[in-house]
Amino acid sequence: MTGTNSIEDRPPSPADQLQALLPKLKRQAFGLTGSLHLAEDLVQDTCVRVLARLDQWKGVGRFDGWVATIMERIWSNRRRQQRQRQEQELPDPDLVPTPGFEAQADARLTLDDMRRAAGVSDEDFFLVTRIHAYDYTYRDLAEIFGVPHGTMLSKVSRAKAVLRKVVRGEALKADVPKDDDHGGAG
Amino acid sequence: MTVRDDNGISDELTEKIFAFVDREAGRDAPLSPEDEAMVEELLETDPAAKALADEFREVEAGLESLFQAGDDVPVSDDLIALIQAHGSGQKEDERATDNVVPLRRGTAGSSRQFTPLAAAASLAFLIAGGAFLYSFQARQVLERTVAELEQDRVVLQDQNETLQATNADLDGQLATAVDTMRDTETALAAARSNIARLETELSTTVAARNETEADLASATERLAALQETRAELEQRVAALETESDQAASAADAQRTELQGQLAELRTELEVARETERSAQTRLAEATGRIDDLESEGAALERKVAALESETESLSSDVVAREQQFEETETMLARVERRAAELAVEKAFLDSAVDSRNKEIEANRQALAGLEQQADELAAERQALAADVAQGREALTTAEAELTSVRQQSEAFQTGLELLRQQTGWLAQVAGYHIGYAGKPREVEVSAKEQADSQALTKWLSNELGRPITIPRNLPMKGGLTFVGGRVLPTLDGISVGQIAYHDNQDRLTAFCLKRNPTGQVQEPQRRQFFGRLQMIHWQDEDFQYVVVGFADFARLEPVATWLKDNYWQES
Repeated sequence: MTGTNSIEDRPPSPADQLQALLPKLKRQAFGLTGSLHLAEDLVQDTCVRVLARLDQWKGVGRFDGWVATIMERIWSNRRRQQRQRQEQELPDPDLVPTPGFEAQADARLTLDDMRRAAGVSDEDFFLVTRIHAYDYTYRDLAEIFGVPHGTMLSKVSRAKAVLRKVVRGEALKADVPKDDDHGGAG
Repeated sequence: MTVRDDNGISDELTEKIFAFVDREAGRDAPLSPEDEAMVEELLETDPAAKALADEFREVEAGLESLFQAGDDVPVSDDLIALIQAHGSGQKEDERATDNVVPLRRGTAGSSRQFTPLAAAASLAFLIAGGAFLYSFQARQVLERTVAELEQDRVVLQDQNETLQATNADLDGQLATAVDTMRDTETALAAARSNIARLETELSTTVAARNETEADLASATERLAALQETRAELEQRVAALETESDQAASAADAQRTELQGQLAELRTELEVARETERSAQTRLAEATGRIDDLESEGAALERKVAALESETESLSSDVVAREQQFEETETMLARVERRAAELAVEKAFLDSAVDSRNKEIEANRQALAGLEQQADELAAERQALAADVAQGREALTTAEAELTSVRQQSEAFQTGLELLRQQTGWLAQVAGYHIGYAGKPREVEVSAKEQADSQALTKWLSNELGRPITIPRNLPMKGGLTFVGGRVLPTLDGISVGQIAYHDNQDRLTAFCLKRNPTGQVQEPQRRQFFGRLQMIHWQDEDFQYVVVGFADFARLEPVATWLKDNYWQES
């Protein structure tokens, strides 16, 4: 880290916080895209948008949550546009899911593909991403989304139980949901 | 959502095992100590549970390694520089020259080692063109952002300069205020020494005043002594003055006596003069008396003349009174003549009154005759009124009869209309029934010809689309004799099956049924009249039924009830 906190006893500026968040942003982006290059794009675009909107940051809540939400929105919009393009073209034969993490790597199957095949909603996918990329606790998430502690555990546990079945190579849905913005395994 | 997992483990237990594994990974998954102990024991004893936990661990490990691969995502130095430009105050001056939109490092330049999972990144080649487009758009956004920031910086510099000027101004004001305060303190010290001096002077002045007061007291004493001396002197002066006054008063008394003698002499002289004056006055009075008596004699002479003229006027008045008396006597004679004329007139009037009384008597007799005639006429009128009342009563009775006839007619028409509207087919059945009632033996299939009724039931069943039986031994008082059956056509095109009977008075009684076109159920039986014809009808989902006949309702009703409850059970 360079150039942070040049003035003593002042809380780090949002931009400094953003720089400190970069490792987490990288993990989140890779978790969402499954690709180093797409993740690099996503991190870059997210940072540019965060910097452009710094005046909108009111200092209420968690800064990393605000940044994570911006990345999730960019990714959602981009994937929707991508899907619309794909629907106009021929279906992608690579989307046929294959079980297992190794197999996923070989077949270029991303976590996103797997969870979509298993019917895990965007919302639950974001929860898993925040837990693994940002070290969010269940209590943090429960407060942010306004649900009880135990309910948040249930949501995540269901999502991961579905992923478990994908790892075991069973219980894949017959067809990939066209639009799972509001769908889900619940 | 399945209640049991494929391992035979419930969703609830699966969630607890997941929480257990998650706590192993250091997360705050909620799990009570009892549940934790329970899961720990279960994992040792239940292979299926252990397998599930291992699978969750595998998922955890897989996800962890997958997200760790994100550490290899490259971040360009330009992006870091951009973030720092926003974050650090030191960099503000450089921002204008550092206006470089960070471009992504070339993909070929990435020398990081990819984990096997990260090899999935090769998918990104497929949409590299799209990525370039994104970076181009990002560059445009950044250029706009930097320009806005430059504007902000200029504004802030202006504000800073203004603030510095204000600060210098405030410093000057502060120095002035300090000087003023020092001056004030000096003045305060001087004022304090003045006060001390004035206090000393005050004590001196007070001592001087006390001395003066003592002097004043001695002076007052001396003044009192002087005043006593003056009082004694004044008494002596007063005594001397009294002596001189007595001497003066003795001299005055002698002089007064001499003056008294002189005054007496003067008084005597005055009296003599007074006597002379009164004699002269009495002489003047006597002269005035003589004058008065002379004027009185003249006045008496004038009075005598006036009395003489008065006597003359009185004698002329007497003459006038005598003339008046004569006129009055003339008038009296005239009045007496008038009285005589009036007596004549009164006699004439008396005779006129007599003749008028006679006329009145004649009129009274005529009136009595008229009253008798009126009595006769009244009696005649009473007789006529009795006749009229009788006529009216008859008219009312006739109207009431007409109304009841009309009401009956309306009720009949209403009933008929109801029959037509609600149960059109019932009206048609009624029509047929009345039509066939006079020809008791004419039926389509005679019971006598088909003693076993087989042909009839088969025919009816075909027409109605359901096996039809002939109900026997229907519960009517006096018994019902089956006489045959027929199919009646109706306006809605649905055939009506009629099963005909005769009661003990040879009156046609029938049980009719037809397919229910609407499927509406009418559970309670309803009663309809068509003149003397009684109809009891009901309907279920499949059929509409009616029992129709000329028998009393009380005799017909048990037949209908029995058919409603038992008809299909019997068949």
